[in-house]
Amino acid sequence: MNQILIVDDEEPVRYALHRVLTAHGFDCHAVENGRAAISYLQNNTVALVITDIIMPDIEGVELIHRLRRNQPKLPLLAISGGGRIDAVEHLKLASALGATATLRKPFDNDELVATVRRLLPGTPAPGSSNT
Amino acid sequence: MLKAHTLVLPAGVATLLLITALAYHGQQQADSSTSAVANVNESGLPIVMTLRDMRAGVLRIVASTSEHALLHHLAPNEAIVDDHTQAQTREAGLADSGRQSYDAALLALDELFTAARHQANPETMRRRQADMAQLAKSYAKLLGTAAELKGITHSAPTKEIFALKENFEECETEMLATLQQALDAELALTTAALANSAADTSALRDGIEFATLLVMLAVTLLTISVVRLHARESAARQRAETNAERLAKEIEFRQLAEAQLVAAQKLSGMGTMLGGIAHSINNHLAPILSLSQLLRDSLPADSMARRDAEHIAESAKRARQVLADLLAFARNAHNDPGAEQCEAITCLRQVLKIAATAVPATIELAIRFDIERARIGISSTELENLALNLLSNARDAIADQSGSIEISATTVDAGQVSTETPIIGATAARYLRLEICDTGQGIAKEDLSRLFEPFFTTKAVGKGTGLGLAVSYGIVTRASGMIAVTSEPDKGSCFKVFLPILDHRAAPDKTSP
Repeated sequence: MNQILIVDDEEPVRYALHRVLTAHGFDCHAVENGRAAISYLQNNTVALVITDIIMPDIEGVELIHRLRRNQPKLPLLAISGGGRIDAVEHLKLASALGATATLRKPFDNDELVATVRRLLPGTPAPGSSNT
Repeated sequence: MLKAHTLVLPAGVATLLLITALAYHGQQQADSSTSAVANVNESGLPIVMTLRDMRAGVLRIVASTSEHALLHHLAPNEAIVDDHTQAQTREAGLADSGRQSYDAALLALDELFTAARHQANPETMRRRQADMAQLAKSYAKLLGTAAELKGITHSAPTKEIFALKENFEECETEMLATLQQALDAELALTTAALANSAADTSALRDGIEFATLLVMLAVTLLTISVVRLHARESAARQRAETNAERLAKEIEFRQLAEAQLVAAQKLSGMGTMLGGIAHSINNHLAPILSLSQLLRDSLPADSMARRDAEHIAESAKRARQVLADLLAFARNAHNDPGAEQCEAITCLRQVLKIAATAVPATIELAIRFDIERARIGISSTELENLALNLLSNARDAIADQSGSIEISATTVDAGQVSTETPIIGATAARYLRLEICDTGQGIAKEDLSRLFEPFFTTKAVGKGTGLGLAVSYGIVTRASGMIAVTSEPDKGSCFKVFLPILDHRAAPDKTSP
């Protein structure tokens, strides 16, 4: 099964994303920062990386930059709740660096699932959600 | 001070002597035995005149028996001064011949007294003699006092006692004071002399006439001086008032500009703080929204638990919108210039659509657009958002009362912007002015300075988030524009938005419908 790697320094966000995506039939693994994500990717193959932008210890933007250099075809979904400047600016930067798609937190589950399905070919059909 | 009485009093006394001499002209009595009088004119009375050196401005009093002799007595630069109330007589002092004039005057007085002895009414003449004597004594006394003060006694050779004053105005006040003093003294003496006389009504009348003449002289001179001083003071006062008014206006303008700068800095700092807070809250809202929706979807359709989960999700969405508005304000507070532009007419058409939906039929709506083709640095969406916020506030201000809202738009020069608002910073040459005015309840003066702060609201709890004007402020400032408000409680409010008109070579509109 295609696996989704979730990268976010906030545990409730990781938990929520994992629960929602799992309920919709996706296999997920969550890590708390960019360094952990790079380490995991060295030993594992994933179909999609969902990463927050503002994180300690290798920010999402740098993670995207590194992944694009090492895995140019890997789909990347950047998410952000904003910061000192608007999330829009963060996500614009992420797009400029190669993120495949962007979402502003907090997002509706439907919006998240629709985006993941678009980025992952052969994903489970709608209606397969389970708790 | 001494100068005044030495130039006016001698003049006054000389006038008196002249008048007296003329008055007694028909009563001349020649006494050839009184050879003390060097010269006697044809009428038997000496002519006492005041002469003026037209070059040096010096006065002297002379007595002469005849005009013919008088002419010989005249120095080359001298002229006869008949009217001692003229301004010329206020200058100068005694000439070298002052002493002679003094002696001549006394001599003339003596002669007058002698002549007076033969008057038909001896009693009257005795009274007059007493008066004249008093006057002469006063004159001599004052002259002597002046002379003594200058170190010159009666017996000393006379010389010029007082120097000419070049600036008449400098000594005018002083002269007038001295004149008044001298005249008061004369009046007192005359009055006393007259009062001591036995019921001589004619003498009393003459004395009063003389006193009146002197008083009128003093009043005239005083009035002239007061009027001139007053005129100078009025002009100076008017200049001072004008300058004070200008200074007050300048100070007011600078205070308003400073207040505006402080407010802008405050809002910018607030924007920075809000951005950081929004990031943190958004991260906490993400699991709330996601998990509540997940929970909702897992519960039976008609269950209370599902409805509860739905409410949680909806609340999270509303919180998300509030944060989005805050972040929009924060983004604008950092003056991030947007790339959006729109054609003013196109954007304003959208404003009309907004007005049609936001303003109920119970409120009279007036529209006045008078604009030229122009591009403004704001997207159509942002202008709609701005108009919606302002129109909603206008509508709420009117509430259930009858009222009206006017929307007007026109293009103005930067100079006009400066005159219409105290806001500084007009950098563009021309601006689109969008004005939305209502006849609602107005805004209290103490609330005006806080109107654009996030979460500040004058509405009842639950009736407003307090973000509408903050977002509007952010939209306008991001477009390098200005927003100002004027209001009067119970009369209404007017919001003026100035948006800079872009160069016609700017990028094409990306947001036109």
